[in-house]
Amino acid sequence: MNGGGAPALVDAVPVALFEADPDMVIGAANARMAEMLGLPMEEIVGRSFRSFLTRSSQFVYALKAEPSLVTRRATEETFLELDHRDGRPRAVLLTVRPDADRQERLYGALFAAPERRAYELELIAARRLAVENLEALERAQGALQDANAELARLVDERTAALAQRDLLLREVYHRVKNNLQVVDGLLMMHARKIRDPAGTAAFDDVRKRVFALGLVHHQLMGSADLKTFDIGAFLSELTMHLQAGAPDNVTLKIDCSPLKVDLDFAVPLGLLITELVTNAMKHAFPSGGGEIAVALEGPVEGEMALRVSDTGVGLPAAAEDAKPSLGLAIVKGLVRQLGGRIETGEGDGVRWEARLPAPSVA
Amino acid sequence: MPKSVFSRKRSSTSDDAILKAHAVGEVGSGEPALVLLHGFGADQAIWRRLTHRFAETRRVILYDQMGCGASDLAHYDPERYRTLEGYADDLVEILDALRLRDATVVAHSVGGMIALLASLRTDRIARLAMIGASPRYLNDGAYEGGFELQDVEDFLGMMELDFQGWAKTLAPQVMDQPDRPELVEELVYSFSRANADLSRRFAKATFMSDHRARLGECALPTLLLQTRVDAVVPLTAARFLADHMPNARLEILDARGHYPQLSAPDAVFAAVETFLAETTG
Repeated sequence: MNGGGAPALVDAVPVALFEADPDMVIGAANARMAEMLGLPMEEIVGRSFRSFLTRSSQFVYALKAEPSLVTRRATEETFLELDHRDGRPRAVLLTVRPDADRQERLYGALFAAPERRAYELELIAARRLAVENLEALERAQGALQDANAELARLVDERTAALAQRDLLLREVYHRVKNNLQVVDGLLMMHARKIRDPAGTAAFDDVRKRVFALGLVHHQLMGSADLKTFDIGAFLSELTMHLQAGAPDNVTLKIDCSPLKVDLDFAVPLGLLITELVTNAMKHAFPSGGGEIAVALEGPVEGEMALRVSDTGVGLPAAAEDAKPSLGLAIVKGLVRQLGGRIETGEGDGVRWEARLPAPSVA
Repeated sequence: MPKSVFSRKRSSTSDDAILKAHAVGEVGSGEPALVLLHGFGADQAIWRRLTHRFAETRRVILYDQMGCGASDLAHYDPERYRTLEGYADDLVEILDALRLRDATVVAHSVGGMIALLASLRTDRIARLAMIGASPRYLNDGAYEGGFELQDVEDFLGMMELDFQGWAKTLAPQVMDQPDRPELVEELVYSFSRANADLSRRFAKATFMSDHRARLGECALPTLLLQTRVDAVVPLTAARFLADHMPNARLEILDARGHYPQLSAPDAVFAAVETFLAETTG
């Protein structure tokens, strides 16, 4: 390569070029190779390529380049350091290929790679940073997972507590209902001992009120949210019970659209209807039968309309001046409790109409 | 790498797990079995020019050291592999899993000391053949290991610097698919990411090791093969092995370099076969 009429190009290119045998003993080299090694040409030709390397690069060369040189007679861009005569190693990339026709002749090139080290160091720093970021991210994700797990645990706890509360509340409603049944039973036993018909009637009235209270708790027991229930189902059960205690020739009719109500509305309303219906049963039909109609309408503009009317004989003329009955006092008290007003109207018999603020849950 | 027949004769799950973790493969049949152990910077494919020749008359077992080749990195434990002892434990566990008796271990480079350490804690190994082995790579007083500490540190630094280049060398060659270069590139990439640290640790465990004091404990018949010129292991280190192992014989191969199993497979094959003829009934 050097001399022998070799083109000037071979010596001018900024790449060290050489020819070697399969043991990588240099057969010829260009001027650039001598320059890279700081050696005269005669100290290059005939020597093993390995001997031009720093000790650590000989190590790299033996472990990395040699296996591939042995098996493929080639190596690509192996990063090595030349042991330059001036003592400063020169970083190079070694590429070797066999001659296309004569496999035992190898051609090699050494590219100066002074920037390679800095570049690789930058890569290493970037890689470390990436790994650190990745680890920080993994730690953050771990913390997030822990927080989520803790949150899930708290939600589970809270859900369990709520389920426990619901269970207890349902149990309380059940007990209240049972206790009211016990009260009813006691009232019944006492009523049987009483000979005075007025007294018996009074007991019956009380028992109806107690039933209405128990029925509210029965509805609450079956309620999904343990706070509200449908007034329609409640009133139809209530009237069914009242009907059972009425004479056969008196019929009771209920007209009510579905409406969600709570305890605060249902209890006074149930008692109010019980009072008005009981009253009608007592006074409207002194002889013969008739019909009692209960209607609950609304809400319209925040108001419910409750009508209880009968086809009976109407109010006695002197009623206004008479001493108010207990039933009427209870009615007024309940309407007050509901925050409404009540009046009697004209009709076939007696017609009560109450205007009540709609329940807040409706 | 010839496609090896992967036959499983064990039923134990943990045995299977060990064999799988090390990509253990085997080919051929006949006793005594031969185990081929690779060294630093390689995997079982380094034996590709010899595997089938050895397998013509016997069972040959190959595997990848943990952190190398196709081994399962999930099993990599930095503490276990801090020194060569962990690698020796692996060899013992693999021999146990395969229930091998009277086994021959042919070990290259650092595999030699791994095999020696393993032979001290199992009786499943009956003889050793070491190629380019060294009890210590660093010079120490009169002992010539070939390297100064600074050389090894420079080497470790260069390894780190030429990260991608090493990854290409160290990627599992058993999976090498020349007709699908993109697959190889991907493999190199994923492998280099996981293995840069592992390779450095293996290099450290290898080149900082000193097993000179243990040589006398191994009385197994041992063949030491060394090439005329080896940049990694000087002849003096090979002679030290021969002088301090009670039952060892050193044979200089007419070959150069650290990989005679690649550069001079015929010579290695002939030497090992002769040794086996001498030492097996």
